[in-house]
Amino acid sequence: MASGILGVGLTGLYAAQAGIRTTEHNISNANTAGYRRQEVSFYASKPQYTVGAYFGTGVSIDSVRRQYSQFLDSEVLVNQAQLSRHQTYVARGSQVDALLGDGGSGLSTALDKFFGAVDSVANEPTSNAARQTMLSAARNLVGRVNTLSDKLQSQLAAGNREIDTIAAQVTTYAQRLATLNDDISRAEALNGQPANDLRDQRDQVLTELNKLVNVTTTQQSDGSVNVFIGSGQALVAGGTAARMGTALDPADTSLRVPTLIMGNTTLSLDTRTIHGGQLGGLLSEREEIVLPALRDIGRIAIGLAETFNALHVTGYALDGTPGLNFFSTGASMLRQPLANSNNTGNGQIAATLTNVGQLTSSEYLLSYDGSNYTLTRLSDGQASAAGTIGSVTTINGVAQGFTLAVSSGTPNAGDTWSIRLTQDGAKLFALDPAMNDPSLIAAASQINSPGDNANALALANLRFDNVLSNGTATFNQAYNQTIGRTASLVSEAGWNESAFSTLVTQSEAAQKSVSGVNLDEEAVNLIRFQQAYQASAKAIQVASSLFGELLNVVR
Amino acid sequence: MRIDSLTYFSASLAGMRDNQAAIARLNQQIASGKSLLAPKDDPLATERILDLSNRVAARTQFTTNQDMAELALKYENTVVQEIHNVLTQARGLLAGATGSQDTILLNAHAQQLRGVFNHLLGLLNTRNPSGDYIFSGFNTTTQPFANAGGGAATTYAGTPSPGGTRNIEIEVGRQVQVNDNIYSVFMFVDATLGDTADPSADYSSSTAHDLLRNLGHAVANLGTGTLTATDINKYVALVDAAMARLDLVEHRIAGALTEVIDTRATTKAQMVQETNALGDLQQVDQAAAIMELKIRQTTLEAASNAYARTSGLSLFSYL
Repeated sequence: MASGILGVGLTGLYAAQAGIRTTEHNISNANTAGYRRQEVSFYASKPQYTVGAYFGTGVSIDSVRRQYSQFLDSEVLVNQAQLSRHQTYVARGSQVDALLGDGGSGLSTALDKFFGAVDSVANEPTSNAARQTMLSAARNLVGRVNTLSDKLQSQLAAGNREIDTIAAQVTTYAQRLATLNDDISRAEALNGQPANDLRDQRDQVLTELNKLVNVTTTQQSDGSVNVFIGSGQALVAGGTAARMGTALDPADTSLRVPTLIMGNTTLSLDTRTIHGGQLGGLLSEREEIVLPALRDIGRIAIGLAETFNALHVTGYALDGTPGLNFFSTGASMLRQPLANSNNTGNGQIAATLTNVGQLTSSEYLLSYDGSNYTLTRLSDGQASAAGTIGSVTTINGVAQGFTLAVSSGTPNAGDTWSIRLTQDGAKLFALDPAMNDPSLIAAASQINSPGDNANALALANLRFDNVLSNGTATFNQAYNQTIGRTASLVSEAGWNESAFSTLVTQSEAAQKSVSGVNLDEEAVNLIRFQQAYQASAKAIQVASSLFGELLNVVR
Repeated sequence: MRIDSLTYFSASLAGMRDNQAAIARLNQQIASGKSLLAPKDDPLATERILDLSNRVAARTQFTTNQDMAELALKYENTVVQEIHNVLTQARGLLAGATGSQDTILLNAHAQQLRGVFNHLLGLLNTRNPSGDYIFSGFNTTTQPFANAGGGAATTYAGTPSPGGTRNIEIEVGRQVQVNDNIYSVFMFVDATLGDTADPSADYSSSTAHDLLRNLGHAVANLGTGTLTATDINKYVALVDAAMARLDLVEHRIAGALTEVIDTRATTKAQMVQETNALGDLQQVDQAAAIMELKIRQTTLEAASNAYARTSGLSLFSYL
């Protein structure tokens, strides 16, 4: 009986020590990222039947459990993946937005100045100064267009590098997750107790991974988790991790796309599979903002070059010689269709510009089924009727402004070609190399008429002509539409960013209200366990003095 | 609700961060005077701003064009007025010679008429300040009129009538003619004058009347007293016909000038409206911005104060 009393007191001491130890662990990790507060759970030990009743034998430690809610954790993950996506989208999109809209770097003022200079030549067709000004304004316009192209291209290049970096980071995280899965399942199998701190670490790695690419998990019975990214692509299964790599986009070799490599299979990832995280934001921003802007500006450049040249060659220079091309030709600015690198045939397709007014900035996909071709406009998914290569460039009865032909080789069934005609237009836009003398500006529409300004007037009027988009947009309007679309997309992403920022803050607060360490609470726990310890110690002292009393009786 | 220490300490951080961001943005707005710092701030307003900016740029160019047109028309008008004066003088001299048989007086008239003839030829070959001949149509680098005097035929090297007129665009789709082909004023066919007036065939044998040739002939023959009253009447009639034609040119110039000036008034009025609209869209309301800045400052101070007061609280301090 007396040893029973001592024993019960001892279990109390142990329990209080366990409580204090856990409290100290909580206090120490109050600032550790991903740490979830732990609690010791106790239960009353198995009672003993002695002298006609069950007597308690003290307290036992059941387990140390971390406090968390699966639901709140996954809420945070979902919101965080979207927040990261929109943050990346806004950060990158804002650069394009500012670039296009800025008076210094944008096209608007350059176009205005150029056409103003053409007007000045019309006002004074014989003035060398006016002609020189027009050439300078044209060079400035060309420079602006080229610079816009350079800046957008360098954002694409930076995006390529970033995709490489993200892929490497994802691979590292995947390997750590696989290792932690192994560690956790081994540790938990050993004694059936939860490996709290390892699980915290794994959750933290998941949180970091989820910022790069949206993650979903499924819990396995052995304590490990299977990790999926994007729309459900397996990244980690137990102790095995896939690798994320990058590859050239088969449809556009200037772009890199992420790939998922598991064993011998390589899966190409795109915006259809990856919607969240930095990678999702990066891929969508590239697809929705940078590439369309590049193609839009390319279309404006090609449209301007084609229409301006067409008028300019009908006129006469100051010395009576027929007008030359003023800008580079539209044909030379066209990006030719690119055969998909997975094609089995060797057919090359050539595109010819037929009407810049009908030209769109969309990307097209040409496919061949062995006998017929189909052209799909990717901006809206509209497709031509299947037919000969010459017939597919009319979609829903509307000509697309270009024609296609097989230029060499033989295509096989299943081959595809990516058509981004206007993507290089801004890069290749230039003054005609021969256009280096102001007197070559063909202001006159009659031969040997230096005072004639009729052609210059016609050229200046191109500013107000609805040249583009099937006669609905001037060059300036087309550019303004590009700015408007970019601004809308970025601003929408900005609203989403602040919405998800709030959601993340709220869901994190909810998560932390369950899992976070409250130091005041720990202070109370510390005192609680301290007092429990003191009480148990007192109990032992009482038991000890009882034992002394007994000895005294015997003595 | 249970709250963890990290959230407790960092709760006021978000508020401070938001206020700081807002203050930075307000500072930028106040410093630049612009309400929109990037198109994404308001895509809809941006498209209107861009459209209005394009229009203002075009109108600025049109006012330049209008100034150019006005300058050219006024220059031509001055020259044409002078030609008008010269023709009036010629007419007076010729008319004054009618019936006068005093050779000294006739010689004096002839001398004066020679001066008038040379002045007229000079005016027809006027160059503008850029060095272009204003009456040679598109052949602005070639002297248009040449006449050796003494009744020789006039050669014309300008653009044949009625071509060679140049336009300037003064508004979208509105062009104004800024020069005239004056060939038809001085070389013309006029049935009412008849074709057989002058026995020396100075202007009668050709189908077109050549004023310079006739004036040259008159200069050469007026002093000799060989011209009959009929001859002189024919000369006067010819000058009258030319002046009637010149009147048409003067009226056209006056009309064009009125059009330019009226159009400029419209252009400027529209530009003022558009610039105002642009200002309303673009410019930041300074008073409102400064007011908001004050409010933000106060909120930021409050948040900082709250943080300073609450961050020190800990149960551990009381144990």
